[in-house]
Amino acid sequence: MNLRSTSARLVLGGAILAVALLAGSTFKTQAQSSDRWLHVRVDNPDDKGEMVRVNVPIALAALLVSSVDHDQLHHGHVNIGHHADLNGLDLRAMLDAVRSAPDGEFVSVKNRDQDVRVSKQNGYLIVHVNDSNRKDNKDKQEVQVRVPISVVDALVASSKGSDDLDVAAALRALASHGDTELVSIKDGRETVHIWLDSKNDGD
Amino acid sequence: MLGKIALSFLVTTAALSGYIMQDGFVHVSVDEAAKNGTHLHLVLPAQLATIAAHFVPPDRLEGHLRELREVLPALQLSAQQLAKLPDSVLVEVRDGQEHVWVSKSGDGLSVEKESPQEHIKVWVPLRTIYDAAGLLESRAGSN
Repeated sequence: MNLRSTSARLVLGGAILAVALLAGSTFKTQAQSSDRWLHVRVDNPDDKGEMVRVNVPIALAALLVSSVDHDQLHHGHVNIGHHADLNGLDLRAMLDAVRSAPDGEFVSVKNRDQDVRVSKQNGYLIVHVNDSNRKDNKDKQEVQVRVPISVVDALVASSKGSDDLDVAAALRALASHGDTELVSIKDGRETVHIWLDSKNDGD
Repeated sequence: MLGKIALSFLVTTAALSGYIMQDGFVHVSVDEAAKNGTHLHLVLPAQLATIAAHFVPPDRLEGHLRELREVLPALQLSAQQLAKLPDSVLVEVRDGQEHVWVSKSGDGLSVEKESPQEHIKVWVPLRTIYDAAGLLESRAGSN
């Protein structure tokens, strides 16, 4: 092929452009699939400055959970039937009831020691536990969990029975959400944060 | 005649080197802070690890394979997916003066430990993890 001719240059330019666009779209697909990151951050300044950070792409977490067949985890499904803490409680039925219920406060327990509230607001299941027994603000315990209802939905929608939760589907549902603070725990000076965003560094 | 022997030796050596080096290199470095501490820096062809796995006697491997069998597909999948990610710190733990972190760095996975006594770093190509997990899985399947 004579590269000096106009048509040959056009064909070559077109080929280069096509390859560049194809490569670009491939990278874009890869970037989108690893777009959402789940971050865990534990800080305890009291205990020799202990710190734990975990940063994992949601897509990878979902794939990993789907590929493991060990103990109570079977290809993305977790069997909660043997969990002693549930004490006969049908967690799946409870989650199913929550997702179909209208917005509102479901549980509100306030006594001398604790203030517990479970509610559904603007597409989120919110659990708030406040330890009101501690006089000193330094030792105060506070737990806030905020789970998108679509994640609760995915957890129970394709589960195989009352003892089964579809964790892989829940992770996939979580991946479609925007920046979200999922768990925030404060116990004295120790803090735990679990959140979702599009950054890979967790800062 | 001598020229032909030399040429075939050269070609064989080149082919063998190419095969051994195709997966890149595993980097290991250990630096002890003590006055006469160890300073070890190794760069090993990653393919050697996969080749070595072929020669481990089955009875030695059987017990470990039973434990690993269920996580090998996940390990292989992780290596495949990590290759698509940007460089990132995946896990980081700091406890007092000890600092350990696992990160995806370039085409490999890096594990580093830093303390006042030592600094240890191991870098393994993701392709080696993928190949080794696949090989062990096939051996686990045949047992």
